[in-house]
Amino acid sequence: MSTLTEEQQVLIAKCLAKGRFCSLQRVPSKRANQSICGLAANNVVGCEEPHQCLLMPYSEFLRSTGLNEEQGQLVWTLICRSTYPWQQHCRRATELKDDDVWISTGDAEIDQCLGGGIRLGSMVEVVGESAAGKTQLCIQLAISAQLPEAHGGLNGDVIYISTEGPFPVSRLVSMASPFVHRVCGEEYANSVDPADFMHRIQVAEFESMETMFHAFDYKVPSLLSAGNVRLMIVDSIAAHLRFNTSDDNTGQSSPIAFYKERSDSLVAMGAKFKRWANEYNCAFVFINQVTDLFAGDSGNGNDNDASLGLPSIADIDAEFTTMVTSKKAPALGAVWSNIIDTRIMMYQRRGLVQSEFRRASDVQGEAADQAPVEPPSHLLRTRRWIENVFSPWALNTQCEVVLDESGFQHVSKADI
Amino acid sequence: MSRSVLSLRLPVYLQTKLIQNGYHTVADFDRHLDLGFLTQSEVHSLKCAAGTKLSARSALSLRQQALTQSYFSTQLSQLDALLGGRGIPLGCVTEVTGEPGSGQTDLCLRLCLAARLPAAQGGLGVDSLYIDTVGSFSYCGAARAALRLCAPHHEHATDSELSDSLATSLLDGIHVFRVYAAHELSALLCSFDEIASQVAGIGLVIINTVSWPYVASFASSIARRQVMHTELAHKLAQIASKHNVAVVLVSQAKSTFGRSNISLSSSSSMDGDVWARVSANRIILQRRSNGVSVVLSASTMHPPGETFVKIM
Repeated sequence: MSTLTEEQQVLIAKCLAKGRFCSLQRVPSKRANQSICGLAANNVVGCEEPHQCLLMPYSEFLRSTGLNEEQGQLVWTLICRSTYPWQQHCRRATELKDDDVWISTGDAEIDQCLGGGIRLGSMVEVVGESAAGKTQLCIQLAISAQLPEAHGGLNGDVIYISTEGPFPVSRLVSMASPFVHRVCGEEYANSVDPADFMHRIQVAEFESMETMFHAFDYKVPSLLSAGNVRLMIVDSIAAHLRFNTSDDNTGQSSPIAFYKERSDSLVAMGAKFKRWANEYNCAFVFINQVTDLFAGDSGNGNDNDASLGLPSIADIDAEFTTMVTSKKAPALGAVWSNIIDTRIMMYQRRGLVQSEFRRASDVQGEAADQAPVEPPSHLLRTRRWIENVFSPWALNTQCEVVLDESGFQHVSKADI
Repeated sequence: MSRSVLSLRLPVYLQTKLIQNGYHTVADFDRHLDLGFLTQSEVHSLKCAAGTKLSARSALSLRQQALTQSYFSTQLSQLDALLGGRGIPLGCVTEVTGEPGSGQTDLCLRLCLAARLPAAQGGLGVDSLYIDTVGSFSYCGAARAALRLCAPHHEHATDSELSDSLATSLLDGIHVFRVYAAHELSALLCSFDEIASQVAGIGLVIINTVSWPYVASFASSIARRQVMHTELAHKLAQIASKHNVAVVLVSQAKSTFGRSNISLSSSSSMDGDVWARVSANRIILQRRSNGVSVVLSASTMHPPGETFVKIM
């Protein structure tokens, strides 16, 4: 590592001694500050930018610039101030009230379960088994985000990244009218055409991890920088990341290397998205798959499910469930779970609908308080729930929903 | 035994010069005052470096300081009981670990609000610094936490609102900094002296989470990450004791897929025990089906213990 030459050190000492670094408002001194920072940075191996000096221990910084304690402290302070001017970034909590903007799901109960909907600036994961309705929920959000503000939308564009096959255009078309009808009323619904909700959705389909990450690096920022995108959906994030399909090119067949590479990619992607979510005021929704957990890993049933974010059987408000809950967990592991802010789980169980059971037992003349050993199978229905597993702005709540042509709606308690 | 020249904090080339000219220890300077081969500034820096003394404090003065230590209640009786009945101490670092969804952000918001409450209610009336590295802070989340704090008997109280003035007074004391990478976090903490002097009355610093910026900035090199962690840990301990603030760090948990019981002795943080070495208290949160299990896994002041909280 090279050190600063004597002349450079003398130059820095002179500038610092005259106290010109103190105020960053006067332009000449700002240039001097920057040149000092640049000078220090250039002499440290591996630093093109002053802020990279902060990514090393202080003693290493001193050693490689050759500055003494006093000078080093001053230059370090200078770099800190220019990297993160704290006065500009400090905000009181009460000033952040206007940052809470939500994309509604179209149903007030589901919105309340999620804490208000999908918040702009957040990273949301929607997870569930296949055919749980994840894509349908995302299509519903995509339509809702485009609605005009007068009708509860955000008048925004949508980016939809599809990795598990073609984008379901027909479902979008069939959902658009009934959804708008339900949410905005008949008058507005008659005035819009389903095609109106298609030209503001940018769809991209990727078949491999490399093309997907390439798009994240280049295509997505350019779309976001136009400033109108309010929602980006990745359906699904797990498709190309779960299994090692690219072992022919790189020759890496070791599973550890694969998981390492995957977690590095996820972390890099997560860091980028977090910045963009805030900068472009956009929500990111990622659809994730579930993976099996094998027996022998777990402790007692209920606690284990709860710690993984799965609903325990006791929580489900159904008296009889005949489907065995197999142990499943969201895919992509702990690295991904720490990157997202919010996890929404969608699941379905075959359960008894109480009101139907009561009606059926009245017809058969059985005593109402006599619980049968096993519920008659013809009364079992597939019931669906959306659960807010964790979120920084809402508690863990579940909402029973029903899926029809207009998307998801909540089921009111009276109907159960 | 006089101090060796090599142990002084001087640039390498200066040390080399001194040794080449026959000065190996500080005592040599007293004998030979002919330092003509050095420039003025070098002599000056030499004098500064040689003049630094090591300082020590008596254990009695530390004990006296400990007796006057302030605490603020977390407003959760079970958690306060774990922490010796008094709550979170100022002047110390507290580490909180948990898997995603175990209530770390909720606990952080609660602590910000609890610290702001007046002394009559167990708080200290101090402001807090919330350093958000992951995007967890939102006004609505804080407002809802305030509602749960002030009206805990309302179970699902999303329809009732906290009175505006109360909400404003509680939330006004939280200063939020959004930080994206490790260098920004370092820069912010290096400016802490300045922040403390300009923003009066800070009593609590929360970093949620302290692991993520280092994972993001040093993805490939774990060794590098650990070196930076150690430096940050020392810096935080210094900030805590110098400014008498409580520093609460949230670290990511090691993946405990499938294991539902955390043993008290193992370190469950993803960063190992680097934060534990500077922390006075280590708290582990685990989600259970109807609440959160809180484990005080290690503490310099209280015996380890475990408790259960219904809904935070």
